Amino acid sequence: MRILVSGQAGKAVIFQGEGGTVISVQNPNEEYHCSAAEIPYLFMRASDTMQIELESKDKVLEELSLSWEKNLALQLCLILLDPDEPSDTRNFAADDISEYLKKPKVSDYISNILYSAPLPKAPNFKMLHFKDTVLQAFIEDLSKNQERIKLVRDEWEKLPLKFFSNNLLRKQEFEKKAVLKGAFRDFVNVGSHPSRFGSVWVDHMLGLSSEQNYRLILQSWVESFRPHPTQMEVDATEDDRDEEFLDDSKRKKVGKSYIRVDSILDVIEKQKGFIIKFLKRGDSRKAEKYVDELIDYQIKRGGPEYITKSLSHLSKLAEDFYSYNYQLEWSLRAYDYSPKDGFVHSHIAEAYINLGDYNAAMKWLKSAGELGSRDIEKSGLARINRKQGKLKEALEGYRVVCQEFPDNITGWLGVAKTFRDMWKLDEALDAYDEGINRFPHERRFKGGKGYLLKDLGELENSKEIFEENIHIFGKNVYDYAGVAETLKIMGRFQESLKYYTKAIKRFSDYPILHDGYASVLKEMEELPKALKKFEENSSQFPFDFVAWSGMAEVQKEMGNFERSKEIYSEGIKKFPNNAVMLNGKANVMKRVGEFKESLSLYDQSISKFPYNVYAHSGRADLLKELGYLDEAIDAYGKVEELCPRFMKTPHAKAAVFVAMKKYDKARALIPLGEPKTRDDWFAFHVNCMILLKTNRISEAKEKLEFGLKNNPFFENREYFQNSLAVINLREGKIEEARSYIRDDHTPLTNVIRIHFFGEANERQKAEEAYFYAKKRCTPILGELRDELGYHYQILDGKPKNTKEWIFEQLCNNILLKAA
Amino acid sequence: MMECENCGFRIVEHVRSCPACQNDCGFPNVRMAQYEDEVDALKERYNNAWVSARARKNVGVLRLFEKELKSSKAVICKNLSMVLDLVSSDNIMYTTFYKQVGAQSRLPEENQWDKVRSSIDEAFFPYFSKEIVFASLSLNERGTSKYGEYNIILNEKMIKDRATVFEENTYLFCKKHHIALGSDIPKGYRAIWDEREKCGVAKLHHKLSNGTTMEKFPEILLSSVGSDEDDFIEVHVYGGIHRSAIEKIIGPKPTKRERAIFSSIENKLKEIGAVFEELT
Repeated sequence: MRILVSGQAGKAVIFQGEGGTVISVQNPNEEYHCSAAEIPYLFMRASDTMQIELESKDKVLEELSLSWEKNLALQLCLILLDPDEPSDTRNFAADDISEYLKKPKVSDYISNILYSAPLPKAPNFKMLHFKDTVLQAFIEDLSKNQERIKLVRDEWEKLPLKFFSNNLLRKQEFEKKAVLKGAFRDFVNVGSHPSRFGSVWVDHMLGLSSEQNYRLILQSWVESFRPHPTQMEVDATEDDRDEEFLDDSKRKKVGKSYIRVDSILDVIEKQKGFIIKFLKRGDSRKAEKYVDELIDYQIKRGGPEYITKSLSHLSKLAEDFYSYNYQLEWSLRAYDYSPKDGFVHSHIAEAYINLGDYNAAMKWLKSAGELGSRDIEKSGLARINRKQGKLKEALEGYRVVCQEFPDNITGWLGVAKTFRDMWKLDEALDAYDEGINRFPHERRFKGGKGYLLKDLGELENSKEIFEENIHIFGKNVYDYAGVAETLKIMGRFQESLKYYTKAIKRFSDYPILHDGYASVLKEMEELPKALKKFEENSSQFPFDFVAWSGMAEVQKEMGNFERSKEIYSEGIKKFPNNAVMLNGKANVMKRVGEFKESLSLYDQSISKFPYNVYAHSGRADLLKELGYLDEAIDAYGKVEELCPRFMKTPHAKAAVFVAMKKYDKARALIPLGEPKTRDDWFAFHVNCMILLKTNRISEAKEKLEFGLKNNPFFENREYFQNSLAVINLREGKIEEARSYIRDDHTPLTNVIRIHFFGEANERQKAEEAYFYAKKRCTPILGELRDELGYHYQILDGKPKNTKEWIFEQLCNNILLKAA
Repeated sequence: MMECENCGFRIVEHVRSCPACQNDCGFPNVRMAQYEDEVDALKERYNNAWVSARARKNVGVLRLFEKELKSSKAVICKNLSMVLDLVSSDNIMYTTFYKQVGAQSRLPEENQWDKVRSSIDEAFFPYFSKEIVFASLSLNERGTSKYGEYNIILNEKMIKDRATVFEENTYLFCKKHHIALGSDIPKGYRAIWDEREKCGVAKLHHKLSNGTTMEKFPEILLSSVGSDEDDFIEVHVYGGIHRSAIEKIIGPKPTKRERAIFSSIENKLKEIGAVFEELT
C-alpha cells in the first residue's frame, strides 16, 4: 500500500482510489476517510512529508510513530540548543529528549540533521542541567565538531549549479537526500578517523547513485576535505561495486518456475471470480485481500504485463458495478506495474471521468497521449467536453479524431452521440448510419441508433434495431435492455417484463437489467413486487444507486412518504456524490407539501451539483407550484441554458404561461403530434388546460378522457383525473365528478375534495377534507382552500370570490402542480 | 487583464506591482475577486438566495446569519508541532535546520493527488499558487479539528487586505463543477474579505429555516458532511503567515511530553502579544 506520512503533521494517509484513510499519531485506532481535497490541509507546511510503499497497516503505524518521534526529537533539540529560549523551557527539552535519543533510528536522524549545518548561534549551556550522560556526550560532540561541520557545509555551498542542470531545486533535493542519508554527518566524523573515509565514501556513492551526476558532485564536494589516499584503508573501486549492485538486483528477476499455463489461467480466473463476488457483496476488505493475492500469484507465475491485464480487467468490471472508486484504485495499481502503458493511463482517466473529476482525467489522458495513445487522448478530451455540455467543442474534437484516426470507432461514435445531445437528430441519425456503413461489425452504432429512435418516439423501429443487433451480433446486455426498455415506454409492460426476465437469465450480473425489471413492475402499479425487487437488487449490488432510489420511489408511490424520505436520507449518506438522492428527497417533500424543506434541498442539490439539470428543474417546478411564476420562468431559463435538450422544460414553461393567461406563448411550446412518451402526455395535458381555460370545455373534456384512458403512465393520470373532476363540478355533474375524485391525501386532492363534497352537500366529508388540507398547502392553494371554506360555511365569513374564480384557480393549481 | 492605475500598463494576473512603473497593483487574489464579471455573478447568486428565502419565508433568519458572517474569522488548525513551526517562522535556529528536513514545504511531487492538486491551484491562482495560505472561515473561532487540535485564529487586521474567500475547498469545487484543465473557473463563488458574507449567504441560505437558532450558525458555516470531508468556506491569504498575524490559539492542554514545545510556543506568543486559550 502507498502512503503519505509526516511526523510533523502527525498523520499518515493510506491511498485508496480517489481518497485515502487517515491515521493520526494521537489516536492510531481511530481511522477516517479523506478525499484528495483534504491533503493540503493535512500536510500544509509539513516539510517532512514523504510517499512510501508499505505492506501492512502495522508497518504504517510503525512508520508514522517513528516519523513523529523523529520530528519531536528534532524540535526538542532545537529548543535545547537555542540560547534565546528561557532556561526552564530548555531544561524541559533536555529532560524529554533523552527518551528519544535511545532509539537508534531517531538519534541517527537527529545527528544527520544537526551535522548538516553549523549552529547559527553558539549554544550556552550554563543554566542547563543534563540528567542524561548520553545527551551530554551528544551535545559535546556536536559542539566540538562545529568547525568541521562548517567546512563540509561550505564545500557543499560552493558546488556550482551547473552540476545540477542549473536547477536550484535539484540541488536542494540532492542536499536533502545527502543529509538524510547521513553523508554530511559521516564526512564530518571521518575528519577524526581518516582511515574510515574509504568505506564512508563507497556507502554514499552507492546510496546516492540514483541521482543524476552523483559521481561528479560527490567527488567535487569532498575534494578539499578528503584525507590523503595513504591515510585510507580502502580505495574503493566504486565502478565494480556499482556493477555488482546492478547484477544483484537483476538476479532477483530470474528463477521462474514451470507450471502449466492453462492451470495458471484457471487459478487467475478463479481469483478474479472471488474478487468480483466480494465486490458485488460490498465486502471491500475481502475483495482487496484477493486482489493482493492475485498480484502475488502473478508476480510469481507471470510478470507485470499479466498483472496489468488482470487489474485492468478488474477495473472494467468494477465500472460495470458502478464501483468507480475500485475502478480507480485497480487501474492505479495497474499503473504501478506498467507505468509506461498508455492504455493503463487511459483506464485511470476513464475512472476519473466516472468520478466526475475531469481535471484529473485530463492529466492522465495527456500522459496516455505522450505514451503513444494519441487517439485515446483526443477522443477522451472530446468526451470530457461532451460531459461538460461543451457540445460544439466536443463535436469538433471528435471530428478531429475521425480525420486523424479514421479507424477509431470512438471518434465516429462520439460524433453521433454529440449530435444527439445537441438535439440535432437528423445529423445524429446520419452519423449513426455512417458509422454502421464504416464499421458494419460494430454493434454500438446500431445500438445507439436504437436508443436515438426510442427518444424520437419511433418505438417500433427502435425495438426492431435492438432485435436485429441481437440477431447479428449475438447476445449483448445493452441490446436486451434496449428492447425491454422500449417495450416499457410503449406501455407494453407484460412484454417488457418477459424480455427483462429472458435477459436476466443470460446476464444475471448486470444491475441495469434487474433495475429495469423492477421499474416495469412499478409502471404496472405492482408496487409491493417492485419494492421487493428493488430491495433484492440493492442487497445484491450494494453500489447500485438506481436500486436504492427505486426503493424510495416505490415507497413514495405507495404513499409511504416518511419511509421514502428515510430511504433517500440514507441514500444521501451512502451515495454522497449522487444527485439522485437529494433530488429524490426534495421531490418527496414537495409531494407531501413540505415546500420550504423541499426548496432547501433543491438549493442544496444545486449547490452540490451545479450542473445537475434535475436539481434546477426541480427548483423551477417548485417555484411554479408555489405560484412564483416570473421566478419560475427565470429558473426554467437556467435549465434551458444548462441543457437545451431537456424535454420537460418547454412543457413546464407552457404550463406557467397558461396560468399567466399567455396562451400563444404556451401553444408555441407544445408539440402537436400524437403523445407517446411521458413528456408527450404531460404536454398533451397542458394543451387540454388551454382548451379548458379558453372555454372550449367539451373539446377539453373529450381530450382529457382520452388521456385518462390511453396514457399508460399511471403517475400522470392524477392530473387528468383531477381536471375531469373539476370540469364535471363546473358543469354541475356531481355523480360524474365523483368517479374522478381521488382518495389520496395530497394537498391538491383534498382541496378538490372540499369543492366536491361541498357541492354534493356532504358537509362532514367536506370538513374532513378541509382538515387534511389545512396543512402543507402552497400559498395559492391555501387561498383557494380558504375561499372554498367560506363558500361551504366550513369557515366563518363571506366568500370573497366567484365560482368562476374558484374554477380558474383550480385549473391553475392543477397546471402548476403537474410536473 | 487590468491596467496600472498610475501608468496604464497592462498587468498580468499574478504580479503585485506594475512591471513598468513599480506601482503597487494590489494582491492578485483580491484583484481577481474584484473583476466585474466575478462581482456580478456573485450578486446574482446572492439575489437568488434572497428569492429562495422569501419563498421559504425565512428572510429574518438569513438577515441575522448575514450579520454574523460579517464578523467571521479565518482559522487554521494544526497540531502542536506545526504550531511551533508557525511561531518559529523567523527563528534562525529553527529555519537553519528545518531547511534540511525538506527542501520546500510541499508534498512529494509524484504522489497521485498532488499531480492533480497542483494544477488546480494553478488554475485558481495562476503563477501565484505558492503564495496562498489556506484557512477556513469560522463563526466560533474553531476550524476543522481533524487537521489538528489547535485552532490558530488570524488577526483580521493582518489579513483583511490580502485575503479572499471562496465557496469551498477548490479541489472539491473543481470536481463538483466538472472543471477541466484550461477551463474557466465559474464566476460568482469568490469575494474579497470585506464581502465574505455575500459568499456565505449565496452558499448556505438553503441550510437555514425559521427554526434555525443563532447557536447553529457556526456549524452551518463549517459543517461535517458525510464521512469524507468537512464543508467550509475557504479563506485564501496571499503571502506567508508571520507569527504576528496570529491573534490567538485555542487548543487542549498539552501532554507532559509536549511541555517544552508548548512552553516555547507560549514564550513566542507573548512576544507578539497573542494569547493561548485552553479548550475546556
